[in-house]
Amino acid sequence: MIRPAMQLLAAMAMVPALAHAQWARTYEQFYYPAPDNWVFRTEYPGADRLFNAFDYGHAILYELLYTRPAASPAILEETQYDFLTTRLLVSPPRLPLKEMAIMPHYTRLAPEAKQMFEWAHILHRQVYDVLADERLDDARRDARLQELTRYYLSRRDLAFSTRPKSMALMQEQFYSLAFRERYPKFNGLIWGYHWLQVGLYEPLVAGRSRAERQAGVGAAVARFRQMLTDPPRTLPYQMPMTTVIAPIFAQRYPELAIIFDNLHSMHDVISDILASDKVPKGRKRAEILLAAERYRDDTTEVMSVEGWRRMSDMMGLQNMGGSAVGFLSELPTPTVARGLVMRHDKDGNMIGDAHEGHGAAMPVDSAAKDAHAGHVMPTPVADPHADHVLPAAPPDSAGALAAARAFHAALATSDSLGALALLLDDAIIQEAGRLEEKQGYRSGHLAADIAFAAALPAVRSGWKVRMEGVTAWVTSTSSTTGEYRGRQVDSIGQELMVLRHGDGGWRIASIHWSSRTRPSR
Amino acid sequence: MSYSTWSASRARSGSLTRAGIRAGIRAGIRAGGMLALAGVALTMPASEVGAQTDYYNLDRGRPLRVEDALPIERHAVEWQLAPVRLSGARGAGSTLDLEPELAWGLWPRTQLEVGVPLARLRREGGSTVGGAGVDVAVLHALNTETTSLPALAISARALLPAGPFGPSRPIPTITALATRTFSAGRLHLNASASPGQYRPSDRVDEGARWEVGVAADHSFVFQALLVGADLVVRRPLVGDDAPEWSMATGVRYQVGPRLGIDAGVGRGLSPGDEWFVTFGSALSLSLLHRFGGVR
Repeated sequence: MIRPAMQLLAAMAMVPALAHAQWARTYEQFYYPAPDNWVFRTEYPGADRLFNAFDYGHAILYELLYTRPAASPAILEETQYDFLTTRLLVSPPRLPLKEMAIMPHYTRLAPEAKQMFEWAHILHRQVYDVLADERLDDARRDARLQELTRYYLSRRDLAFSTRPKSMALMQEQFYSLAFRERYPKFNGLIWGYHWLQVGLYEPLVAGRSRAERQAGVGAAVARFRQMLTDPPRTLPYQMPMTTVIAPIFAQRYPELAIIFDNLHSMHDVISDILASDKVPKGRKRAEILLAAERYRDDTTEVMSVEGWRRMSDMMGLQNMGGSAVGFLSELPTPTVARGLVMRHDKDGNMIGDAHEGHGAAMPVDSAAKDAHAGHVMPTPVADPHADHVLPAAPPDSAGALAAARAFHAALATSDSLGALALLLDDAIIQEAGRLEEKQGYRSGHLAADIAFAAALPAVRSGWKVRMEGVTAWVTSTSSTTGEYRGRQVDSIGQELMVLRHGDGGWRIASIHWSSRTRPSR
Repeated sequence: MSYSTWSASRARSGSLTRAGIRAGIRAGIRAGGMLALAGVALTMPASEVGAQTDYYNLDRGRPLRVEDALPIERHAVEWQLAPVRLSGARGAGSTLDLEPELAWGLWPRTQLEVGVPLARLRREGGSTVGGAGVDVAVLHALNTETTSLPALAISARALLPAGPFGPSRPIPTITALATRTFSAGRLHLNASASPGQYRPSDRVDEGARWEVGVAADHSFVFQALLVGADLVVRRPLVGDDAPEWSMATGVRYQVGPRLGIDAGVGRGLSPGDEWFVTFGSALSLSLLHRFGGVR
């Protein structure tokens, strides 16, 4: 029996080499210990318990989206929603839940992302503790929150960036909107959760006495419950942004507010990845990890802090569930359709082509319109994806070739954002007898191109570049061999890209692909 | 850390009576209560925050002999306050074991455990109390569970000579651990081996030449409660007796954010084999601030 045990040990030592793709080594870390630990639980037990129920809502959502992608939406929209709102939120668990036991399959799929959430949720709770601790004056409270933030950021493998991220990460990927389209009610519930999670900071910061803070937290909880009365109409129509829902908190602690907005944004991204049938099951882990990396780094889709505030304002307080303090008895009237996608540049200015969301459109009350309603006149601005564009340089053939190759590299590495950033806004893509504009390509054939390029990298050769002024024609041939989705592929292709040079360097104006099966040899 | 089957041979050397069992239980409750009070008194001033879902993290011997492949969190300190184990066998005396133990999440995925087992042997002629060695162990998780792989960990431990019931020479043990999670619960596999040749005079009743255990558990997440059962087979370090089979079942319950308790029962599968009852509690805290906090 010793021999089998030793063999097991030896086999375990070899496992990393045998299964590299599935090898994960993320780990848990303890709360930062301090005298204020658990104060929120003691001072505000009702609100604290609600967060335990929120844990379940997030967990069961991911587990069902991943394990039962083809199941009827009613399982989430009716069965789980009803369980949550009529039972669990009414009588929440007394302790935080072990999410691994609720969502084992999702946790196994992406333990790194799950750990990122857990680490940020710990921060969430510890910030409540600090703000709820009546023994701390403002200076000590600020110092404690700085300490907590530093502790949180010490886990660079888990911490969300303290730089605001563009909503393009959440709403302009090839898988984006899948969740809100299919599950509008549950999506609204998640936004309701996020409204309360950031909204509770405001009465804790704005209250001038313990009595005011107690009353403010109680009112915010009551407001959250009011949101559940007629779903999805009464639930938020846009992702609640901290700087709008809790402006005093966000002004005082911008790093924390940005972290929480990035956290909530990534919540939606993962819901989309799991819900989208454009992301094959075998690609979901890679897309989740890619998204996680983008929310951790300080470079991808970064906005200025002022831009983040401006963008949040333009999305509209009334579309996010309204203020968390000093609100009227009636819920605010949204001014946009549920789930409307608004595009912004990195300075928070709205870009013109906001398109309708996928819920029932809310009749817009003209009296309710204001400057924050998301209908601001578009201003001529740079593309929000400008970060991904090659550095501007004088027009040269090498730069054009590099841009063309970068586009293929982006496809092969599933970097949809990078690929889209290389396309001009009016770019057209012609393939297989179809013509798609950039927007159509983003939500249409891009996913398939990425899946194919990632699965079967093409061998490209015969690159030729011809230039005339700021226009370049790049041609190449490709050879693709292998098995894709159960069929043998052995094809050769021709590609023509037309690129234009501008302030952002070389970008693609059009692509034409033509391929055929390789003739028998 | 565990006494899982360690006490069997000690117990067999005496006789088991109802009065003996009752006295053992009373002594266990007294000792456990004192340790719990001491633990609370020592840790309260620190006001640390703890692992709120510690009930989910199986510790060896609390209450199952099989452990999961999950170490405690980095920077966490878990103090097992009053792990009491009462055991006996037909025709033998009862043994009460106590092992205060400290586990520390020293590095990422790595915990250090130090236990100081104490034993009280009760026989018809009276009882004897004494140390049963010093137990030092390091558990390192190799990975986090993923779609294709279970959570895997290795553990190296040594029971060092100390006290009248401890071994006369160190007993090293290497263990491989695996945990797989399903919707219905988790499966755990432990396989361990203790290399070396031992004689009866080495007082190594507690050790096993090899031991293999499998366990299953299920969590009731809303109640913060875990129930589980295990099946263990082992061959003692000394002698050529047939492998010993035993099984146990138990529960772990999270009382509050920092405090968890557990209880279990088990017995050998051959007539006359040992039975045992366990009860324990664990307090989670952190020593991070003692070392100046995060830098």
